Amino acid sequence: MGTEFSRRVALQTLAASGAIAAFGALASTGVNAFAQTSNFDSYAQSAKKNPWALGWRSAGAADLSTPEVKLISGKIPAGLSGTFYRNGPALFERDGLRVNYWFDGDGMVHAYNLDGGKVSHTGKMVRTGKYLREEKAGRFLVSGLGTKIDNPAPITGPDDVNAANTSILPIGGELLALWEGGSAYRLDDTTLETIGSNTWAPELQGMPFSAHPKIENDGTIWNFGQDFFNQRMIIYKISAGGKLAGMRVLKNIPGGMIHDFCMTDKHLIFVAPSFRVTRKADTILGMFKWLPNQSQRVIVVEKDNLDNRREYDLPPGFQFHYGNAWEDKSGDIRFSVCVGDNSFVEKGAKALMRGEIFDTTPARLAHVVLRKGGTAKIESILNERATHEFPQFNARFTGQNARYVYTVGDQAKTGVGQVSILKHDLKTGNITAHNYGENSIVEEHLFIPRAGGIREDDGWLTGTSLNLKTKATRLNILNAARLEDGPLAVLELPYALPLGVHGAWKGA
Amino acid sequence: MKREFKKIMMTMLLVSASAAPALAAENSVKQGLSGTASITVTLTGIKDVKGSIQAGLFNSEDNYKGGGVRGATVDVKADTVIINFANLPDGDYAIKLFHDVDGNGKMNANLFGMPTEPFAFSNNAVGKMGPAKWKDAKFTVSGSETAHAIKLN
Repeated sequence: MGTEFSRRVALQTLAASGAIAAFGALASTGVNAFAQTSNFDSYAQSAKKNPWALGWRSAGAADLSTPEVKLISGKIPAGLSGTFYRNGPALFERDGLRVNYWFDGDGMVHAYNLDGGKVSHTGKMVRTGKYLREEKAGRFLVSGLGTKIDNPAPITGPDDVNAANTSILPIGGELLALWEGGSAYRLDDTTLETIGSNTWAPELQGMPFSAHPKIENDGTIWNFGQDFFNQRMIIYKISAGGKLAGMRVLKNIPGGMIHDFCMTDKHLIFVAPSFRVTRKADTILGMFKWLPNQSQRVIVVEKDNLDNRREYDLPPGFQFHYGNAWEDKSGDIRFSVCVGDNSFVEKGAKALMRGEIFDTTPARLAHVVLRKGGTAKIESILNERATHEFPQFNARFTGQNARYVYTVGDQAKTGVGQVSILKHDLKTGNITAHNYGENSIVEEHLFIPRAGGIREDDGWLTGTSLNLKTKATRLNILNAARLEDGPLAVLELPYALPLGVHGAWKGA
Repeated sequence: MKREFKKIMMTMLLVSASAAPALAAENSVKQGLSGTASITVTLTGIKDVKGSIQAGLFNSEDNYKGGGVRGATVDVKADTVIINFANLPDGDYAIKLFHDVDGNGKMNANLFGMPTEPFAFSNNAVGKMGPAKWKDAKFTVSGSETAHAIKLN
């Protein structure tokens, strides 16, 4: 038997067995593990049997519109009028390739306009440079945080991979769609059409601007952008009107992934977690390594003098999000935080894209004290009803010793997502809650204060949930003082949106 | 890495900054190279028709990292610019260039040192968190005229 003949037979056999197709798929997804099915196929198979996979289905349309969203139950409270905006990764698939990491999906912004007891919905993909170029090419052109794309297009800076997919900030009559590694994107606040990337000042072009700006009661906005490769960050101070009011580059910020921060009247508080840039890798995510014995570094910066800082150590950990922070007369600072480890950020957010469950360590609501001239300590941590995430509070109480914090909580029995919205009374330790049921995955709920309200919990919680039975996204409105009564109103879109991340409220 | 890139671009700039006010594309001479070969670069991808193109020519891995052998400044009058380097010996060359959009004579960078004006390398070579490597950007010049096309990022 000649060599040529045996080679041909071997090739035919391979083709018949589908092995060649499998190799092709592997090459195009950049998946490392040999003989692993592609993300695309793995997710498609999971979606046939796991209702929860709906939450990570790639957006089917670039633009969505529902002039009047169907009211399922209750009534929209009088006095609640304005627009509830949300953002989140939505486009996960192009040309048979599915991204490797949840936060690599291109951002879609949603506006739920509440007016006269009726609600409309508009959703639009943010037309970033990345999105437009990839639309034209019909494929993904650039690697994301955790996804490596073969034959990538040239990249000249972080904005070339900007997915604008994490949060939204109404500012100066416009919206900013926020990412964290590069510029914010400006959108029209009514049509959601993309205007372009935002530059605060020429020397700030393309600089990172985090998805978690903090707003003082007078409207002044503080934010940061981290350069974890060079252990530094930039601090931004923005006026209520949306103009740059100050900036400062801070050095010697350990290269741990900082997603959010918290703020008292006088200070900004950053925590560099134990998930740090330590190595070279194909993806940015791959450069981070979980260091289980590495203390977290707390950096407290004075707003009036950004070069004045004090630092603390906390036990090893990782967190995405913070609740409120406040400072007593002695200068001790206390803050709330949803603390966990690397399991979700590093692995869980990848597994979900394959339609798989990775058993992640639940994030827990913790309360930290930073003693002035002393040490840092976790004063308490709530083990029950975790994962606690998306902490919210009445923004009017920013920087004060506030009594309430709201989180999503209660892990679903499937192991994917949470089913409840919780109200934590920090004075008594009591928790009141509304459980949406096992058919729901609950998303962030914002606290919207009632106009003229004095009590801290006088207002509404407004948030979305994905109903896995009706296969549709719902908008829920609850009385923030009595979550246990259940929603005042539930509305349902005629479609399911991919699970999103963060939102913002703009009163009418 | 980005800092290093900035440094390299600045060094490159020093080379071209010694150029006489550029009428055509004739350029500053740092090293006494002479020969009969020439390079004609056609640069496309210019978005703002203003300012100038600042280009540096290099002929070894060593001077690619530091100073170059020639520099050129060409005003941008259209969305395509021609840059000539003449009287060169045959050999391997590479080009780094950027669009000085605001005409301030330097490559602007943000506070983290990342370039904020368009730039490119010969062969349209791409760097990874820094400038393109010499081995990716070099091309061979021989005979009288070598045409080379570059597109700005």
